[in-house]
Amino acid sequence: MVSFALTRADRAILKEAKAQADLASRHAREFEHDEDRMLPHAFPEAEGRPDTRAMLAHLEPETSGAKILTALLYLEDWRGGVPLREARYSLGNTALRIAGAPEQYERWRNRTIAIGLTESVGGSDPASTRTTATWDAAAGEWVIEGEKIFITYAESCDAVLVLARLVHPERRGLSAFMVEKGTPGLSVGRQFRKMGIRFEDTAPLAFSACRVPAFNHIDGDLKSMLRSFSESRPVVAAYALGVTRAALDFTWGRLAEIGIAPDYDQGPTETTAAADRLMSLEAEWEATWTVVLQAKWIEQNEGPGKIDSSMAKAMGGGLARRVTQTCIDVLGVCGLSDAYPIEKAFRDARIFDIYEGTGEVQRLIIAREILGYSPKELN
Amino acid sequence: MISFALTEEQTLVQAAAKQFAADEARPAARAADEAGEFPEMLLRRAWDLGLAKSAADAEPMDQPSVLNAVALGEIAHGDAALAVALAGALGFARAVASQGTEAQRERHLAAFQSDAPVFAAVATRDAGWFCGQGRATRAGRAGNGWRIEGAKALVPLAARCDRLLVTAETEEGVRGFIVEAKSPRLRIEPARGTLGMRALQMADIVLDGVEVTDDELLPGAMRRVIDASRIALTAVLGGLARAVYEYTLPYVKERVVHGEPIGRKQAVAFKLADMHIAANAIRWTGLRAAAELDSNPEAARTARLAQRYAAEQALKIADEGVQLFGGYGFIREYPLEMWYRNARSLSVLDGLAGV
Repeated sequence: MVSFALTRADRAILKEAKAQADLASRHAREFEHDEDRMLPHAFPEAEGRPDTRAMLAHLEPETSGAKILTALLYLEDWRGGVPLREARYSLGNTALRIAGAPEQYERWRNRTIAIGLTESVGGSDPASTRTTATWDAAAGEWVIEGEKIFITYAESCDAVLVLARLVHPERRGLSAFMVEKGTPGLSVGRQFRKMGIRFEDTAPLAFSACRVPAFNHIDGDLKSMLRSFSESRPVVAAYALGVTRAALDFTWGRLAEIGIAPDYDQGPTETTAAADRLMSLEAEWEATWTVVLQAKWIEQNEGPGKIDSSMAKAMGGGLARRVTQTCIDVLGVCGLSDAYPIEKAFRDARIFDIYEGTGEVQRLIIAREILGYSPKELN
Repeated sequence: MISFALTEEQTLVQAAAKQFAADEARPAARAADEAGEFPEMLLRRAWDLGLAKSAADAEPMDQPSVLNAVALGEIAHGDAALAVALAGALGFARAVASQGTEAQRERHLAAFQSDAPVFAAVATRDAGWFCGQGRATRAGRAGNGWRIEGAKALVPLAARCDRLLVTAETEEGVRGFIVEAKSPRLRIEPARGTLGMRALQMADIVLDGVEVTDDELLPGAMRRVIDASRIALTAVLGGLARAVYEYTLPYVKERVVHGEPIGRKQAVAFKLADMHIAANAIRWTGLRAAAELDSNPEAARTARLAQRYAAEQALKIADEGVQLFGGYGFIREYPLEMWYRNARSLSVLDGLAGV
């Protein structure tokens, strides 16, 4: 039966997450001029409060499902502008779970694993990868050489799952390798200076004669590794929902001070232009929320759909841009001030249509599937 | 618990509506638009789906709003105008069945069990101020009953409706009154033709001091009735949007320009991707609002926002459909221009036409 009613357990977890987001929001600006500072595992306000992800693990049978709830938890994190507790879970963890052998997954499952995909020549096109992994038969080791950029969790992760081109007498193509922090030859570069999401750890990684044992070769196919994006992309759209929810709520709050409030029965001639524009964005927000949950519901029931994740991600990326741009239009000069959260939302939100596949990449994926074209036929 | 799964009953109704839309509604749509009327046989076949009968049933169905939305979406995939023709009767029947007194249900719903189509409408929107008829509809006490003054805009199949549920401002807020179309001092203006949905023969209704007895006042507020009408409208827009998308998809693979199909160019392929994204989102925001109305006292926010999203996006999809067909999009041999006119019409009909 079609239902959008949250269960009692859903509501309890999300209520706590919302309370924690409110607590975290006081720290949201601390990283703006201190980008080398790492996000703490938890801010002091987390003391004595339950870990919402642990609550979810405990209550899962009574919830709408871990995948749906996880997306909604990230939404709340981003509503606060910075997470009160770091998730300690990254895209590399998902990729390892999907593509790794059971003994590999066991070995690293409790570590934070960054994913090393993007290089200076591009992230959208893995075929352009220049990093190499050369087989040293005598030592039984792979030797990794190359550079990765824009790596989330580069500095704070425990290990990185890196994509490299094989140099091997009998094998070729792209494959993934687990490289633990502290491995000789792996170095972390300086934090990137970004427009927004400055609390996120983003740095380049360099691999120079970096040797890993054969065990670290994640020999699943590239496709299955890239499938981890199908799980993470709707979550990125949930980030966008969080930032835009906070932006819309703030903007409505300021408008209320001059007597403008949402009215769901007014037509265009009975309302202000400001309220009318925000209402259009509210409609887009609700549509995006629905599609993010749809992607996660499909994932829970049948595994990630071929294009459902891309649909959610494309909507989230566009929503983030439109909402934050329009809120500043509506707020005018007050939208520009560092004294208010909107200018930060505007800077932070812009990433969502870029990382984990740009809006254009999502549309390519969708278009190829619906039109029945191969990557060669539509590129 | 969050779920996107239709029930077995909803799936069966969906399949029947889909079949009817493909076999009968779609092939008749262009001729009906040109003639400005539906063939009697088509209306009868639409009625045979049994949707209005079941809406008028006193026994409450599971999720009546979801069921209606699913069915209307499929019919609109064939012909949005025909879906609206049914939606008027469905809206009236649901309102009276769920909110009406026992006497009202007996008096007004018996006809819905017949095999011949019954036409009715929920007339909520006052005639537009810009269009000459502009006047707020008001009802005041008159003796033992009420006296209604005002005008309602563009009621679908106005001349064929036996009954209308008319909203009017009273001292206790907006209320609904069941008005017989034959009432003295009720005047149905001539249908002048409209941009789209032409077979609906939409016409204004003028209430020039129409008197109704107290027992024609629908108990309760009009909130749910308005929410339901927006959900139905969203479903119709969703069906129309999907029709345009599905019709355009094979065309861009066939149409060769500069040596290759236009679908192989990103500028075109991305439009198709966006149409697909939005058509899916319209469908599910609409069903979400429907599910909320079925389990809550009201769904004012989700219903209104679903309808707003659907209106904006369906128009955009229909617009791109015309564009991708180029000249063929503009000529009446193809359905794109009709769908574009229909999308423009439906997307301004919020609360207007008793959908």
